[in-house]
Amino acid sequence: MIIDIATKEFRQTFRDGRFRLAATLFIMLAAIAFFTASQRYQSLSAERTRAQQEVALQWVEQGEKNPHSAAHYGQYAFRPALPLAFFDSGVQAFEGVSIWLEAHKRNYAAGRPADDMSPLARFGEISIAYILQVLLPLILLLIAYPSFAAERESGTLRQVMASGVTGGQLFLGKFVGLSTSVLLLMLPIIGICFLVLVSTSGATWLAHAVLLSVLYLWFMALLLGLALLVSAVASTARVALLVLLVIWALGNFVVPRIAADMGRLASPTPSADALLRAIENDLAVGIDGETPSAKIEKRRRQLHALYKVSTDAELPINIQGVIFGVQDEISDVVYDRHFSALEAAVDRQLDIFEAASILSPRMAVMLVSQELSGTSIGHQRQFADGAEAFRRELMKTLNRDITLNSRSGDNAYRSSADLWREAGEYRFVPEQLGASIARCGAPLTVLVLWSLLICGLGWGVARRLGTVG
Amino acid sequence: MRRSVDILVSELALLRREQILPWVLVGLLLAMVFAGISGRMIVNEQRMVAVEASEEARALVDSLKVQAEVGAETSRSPGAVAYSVLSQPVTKAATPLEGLAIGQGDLLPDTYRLTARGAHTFLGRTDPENSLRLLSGNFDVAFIVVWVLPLLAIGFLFDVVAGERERGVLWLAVVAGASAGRFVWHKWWARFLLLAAVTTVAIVLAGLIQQPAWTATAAYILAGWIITSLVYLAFWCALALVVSAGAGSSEAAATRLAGAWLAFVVLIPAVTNLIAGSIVPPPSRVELTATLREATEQADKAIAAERDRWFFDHPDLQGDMDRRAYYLSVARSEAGIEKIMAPLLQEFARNARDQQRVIEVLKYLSPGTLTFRSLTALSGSDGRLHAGFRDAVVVYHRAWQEFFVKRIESDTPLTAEDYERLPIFVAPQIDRRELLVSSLIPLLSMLALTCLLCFVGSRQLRNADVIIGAHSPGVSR
Amino acid sequence: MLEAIALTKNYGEVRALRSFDLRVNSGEIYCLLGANGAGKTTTLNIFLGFVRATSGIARIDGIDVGQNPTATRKRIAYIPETVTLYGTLSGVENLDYFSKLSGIRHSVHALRAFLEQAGLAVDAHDRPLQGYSKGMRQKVGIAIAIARDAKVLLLDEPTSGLDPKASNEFSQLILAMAERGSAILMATHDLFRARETGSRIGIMRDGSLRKEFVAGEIGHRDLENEYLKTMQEG
Repeated sequence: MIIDIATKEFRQTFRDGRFRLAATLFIMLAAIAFFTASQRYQSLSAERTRAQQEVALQWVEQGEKNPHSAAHYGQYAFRPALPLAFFDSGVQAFEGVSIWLEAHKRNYAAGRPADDMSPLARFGEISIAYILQVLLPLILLLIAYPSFAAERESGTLRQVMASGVTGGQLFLGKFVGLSTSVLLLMLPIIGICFLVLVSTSGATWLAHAVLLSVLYLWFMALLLGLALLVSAVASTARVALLVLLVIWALGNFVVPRIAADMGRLASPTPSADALLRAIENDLAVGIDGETPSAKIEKRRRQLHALYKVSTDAELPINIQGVIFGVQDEISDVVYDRHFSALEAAVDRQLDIFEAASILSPRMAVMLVSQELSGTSIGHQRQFADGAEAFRRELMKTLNRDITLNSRSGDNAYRSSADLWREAGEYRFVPEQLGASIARCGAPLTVLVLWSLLICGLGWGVARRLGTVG
Repeated sequence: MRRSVDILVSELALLRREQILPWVLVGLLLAMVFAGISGRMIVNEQRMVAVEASEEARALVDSLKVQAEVGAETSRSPGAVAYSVLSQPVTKAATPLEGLAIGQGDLLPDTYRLTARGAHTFLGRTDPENSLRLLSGNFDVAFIVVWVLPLLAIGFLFDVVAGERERGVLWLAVVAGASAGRFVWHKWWARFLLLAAVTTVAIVLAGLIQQPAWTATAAYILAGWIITSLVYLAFWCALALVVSAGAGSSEAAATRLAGAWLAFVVLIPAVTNLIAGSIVPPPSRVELTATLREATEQADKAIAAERDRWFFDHPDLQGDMDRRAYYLSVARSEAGIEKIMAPLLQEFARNARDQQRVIEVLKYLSPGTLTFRSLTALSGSDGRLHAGFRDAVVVYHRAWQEFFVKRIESDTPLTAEDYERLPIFVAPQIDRRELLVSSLIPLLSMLALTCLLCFVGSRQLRNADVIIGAHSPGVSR
Repeated sequence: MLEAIALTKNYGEVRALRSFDLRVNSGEIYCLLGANGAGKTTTLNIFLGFVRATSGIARIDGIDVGQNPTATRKRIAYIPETVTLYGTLSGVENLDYFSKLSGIRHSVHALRAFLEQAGLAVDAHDRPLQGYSKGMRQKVGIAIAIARDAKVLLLDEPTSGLDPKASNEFSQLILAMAERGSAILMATHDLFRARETGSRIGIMRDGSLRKEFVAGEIGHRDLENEYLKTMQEG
């Protein structure tokens, strides 16, 4: 019975000129998105890989110099274009692509691609994810809104119910039939995405891609359920259409902006100026109630006591290396404090955004999609934290070399490529899938709640389909 | 004339009976007010940062002046002050009502803190931001006008012909002796005037919330906002009329108008952005970084060689290099890096200008883009004012550098008078004449398009099929 | 067989049906006459299970409709005033779909035979329904009833909007179905058609059955007079 209803729905949709037109436009846009996204991904990926290799070579071939000069020369960490970025570019355009790893300083990522984009970039980017999150739902609601409402208006619904079919069977049958139409559009795109992914990165990101497919299929099912629900409850097809269009417009364009603005007002982030000045002040003040010079002096005295000497020159090590280490200890704590505060401010903004996603499941899908595609704020942070961890290790290695391999006052000390190689070069390590999923708790909960709501309401509405009063 | 007014008044009275209507209009007003408040808070925040930076810089200069008077070494050393102590904040000129359209305002910095070091050290600096917020965009008044107002126009007018035809009212009116065109136009005017009135009030409210200094420029900009928004609204109302007249049912009309909205407000602007990016691809920041690194490395090596040479030439001096010699080497190093970086930075600036030019042509593809550009231009947030600001900063930076480098080279210590003669930055202001010229053509284009649609609508209403309809009742989809 | 025992339906303070009794046996065509708001459609809706009676029992083939609306619907064929069906599907496809909804599967050959039996021209079978006239759609509705071999047929103003020829064809089909043993309840304004087609005729007013006649025992003119008298009664 359900299959029969589904077959009829599918056949009707397919014969509907609106669906054919919408499907044609959808395919055209998907093709454009595919083409441009793939091109951009390939070009970005090659560029950043090349850049990372270049800076690694520059690091090793920097010649002989004092390790502290090398520390100031530093390295660069470039955020690679992850394979699924072609599917969902996420927040990448608004995040810096490189971090300078230098001595005594933690830099945040610089070189935001959005700064160089046209002013119309704020209208949005036609990525495959955008098409699946915004355009396909519009097509879906345009084919689903008359399902019950138009049949009720014309009297066909009475005839159908009078045939002995239950409301639940009818609801499910329409759901399955319309899903098939939508799947016809989605599955080729998902299939091509898989092919592109495997050809560019093998099986590494396959699990992510599978989860993304599940996510979008879930989203479409949810929206279809919502559209059928509204259609079943609305007095006329016109009302159903208007209500669904309003829900679509609000959920995609209005709620995210309001949520983002409210987050900013509730938890503003500091300006670069304010951040840097606060850091400078704290660096001058020191940590644990000790000024930097006091801390250095204390360490000096400890060393003198340890080695039973009274001057730096008598030490068997180069105290300058130790001093650099103390300075790094202080700066690490200060930068951690301020960067954590900055992250906390952003997190509060994100919390508001996540909370608002209860009004718009598309926002929840967007957050999860970015996580699975590796283009979320979380991934940017993972890149930045990984780069910072490497920087600290790099500085420790260089400071250790100065400390152990030279003597205090020896300004002519030089190290060579052996040390640079030993210190290593920055390599990006993508995070595990589990870590990405762990950040999806709130949006997934929203999707589950929406699903339960729609199932519950759908069950209630389906039961009442066969009654008038 | 009197009869028309009577009919209009009746139409407005009919509209008043619709339960949902007042809520929608109140919602629009509240949304605009919220957007206005939000925009103002964002702008105020930026202004506060600029003011704080400016006051701090002023205090530092005053302190250095005092120290120079008493002969403190650091404050008299042009090199130390230029490269280690003093940084000068420069701020983009405020535009009246800029809170109405944030545009590029949250991406492009409106304050740079420059030093005597190369321009690359401050031009690329950005504020740490929530990238998801940047991705989502701002809920400002421009958003409401460009994205939301058309939806309201569609909601009010999608069934102005099709719905009346379906209800049989149009046919009855014609049979009773009224002209279909007049009948429909009165309905159209009632709805348009209602929406226009609420839009005007909402924009004025949002404008007042910005608390601008009420100069002629501010009044001009507010008037520009109102006219641009109303013309845009008129376009959508006219489009709704034409589509409603041509559609077989009010549902079909709503669907087509939703499609038009999607095309003009979402898809075409996004595709336009794509085209602009293809015609004028942005230069690579990665390449910029790599070039900077290479340039810095060369400069550092040059400094090191110079210092080695200096110590070779001064074997009797151990320890620190002479201060003047040191800062001279720093100045040369910075000049060397800038020489390499300048062309790249100019490429970015040129690219930004080229993109603006391309957008100025492509914006005519969509009323949404056209209106957005006009509104952000009025608020000074479309990137052009910032480009002018940036160019002015680059020129000022050269003057700033020159001020100190001349003194380093001649080994002239800074005096208290020098601190009073520091170069002053004058930010380019929004030019009313330029605004008028740049907004007139888009406005006239939209007006012409709207008039064309109204003409087409009028012609459609003479067609009997439009009145009776070819729709056959009783057949389900 | 159709049965209504003391059927009552209130919509708030409005009493749509007042202790309504009715029985339609197999092979009978019962025509229910009455003005708008008399309770005809409410009666049909109760038998269809779309509306719950406030009190009383409605049975189809002995099954209580209120308790088992789905089971009773499987025994009913329903033809509304305007047969709408699905415009983008053809006559054969609509018939196939509605048969399957009832749990019955027929071959394409059988479906075409049903459509022919209902009087639909062969060249219309595969055309989309949106091009059909009202009469043609009515025939598809009848074909659905025939295909379901329903023992009970509910008709709501079936001849409304049909021309005399189509109306007559429709009557012949209904009579043929009654002869095959279906119990048919037809709500109508068409006094002439009721007299021509019905076995018994009931006149409703204000939710109750005021008069009942055997069709063969009353002439057209007398029926009309009785109808008008009932409508004028206090």
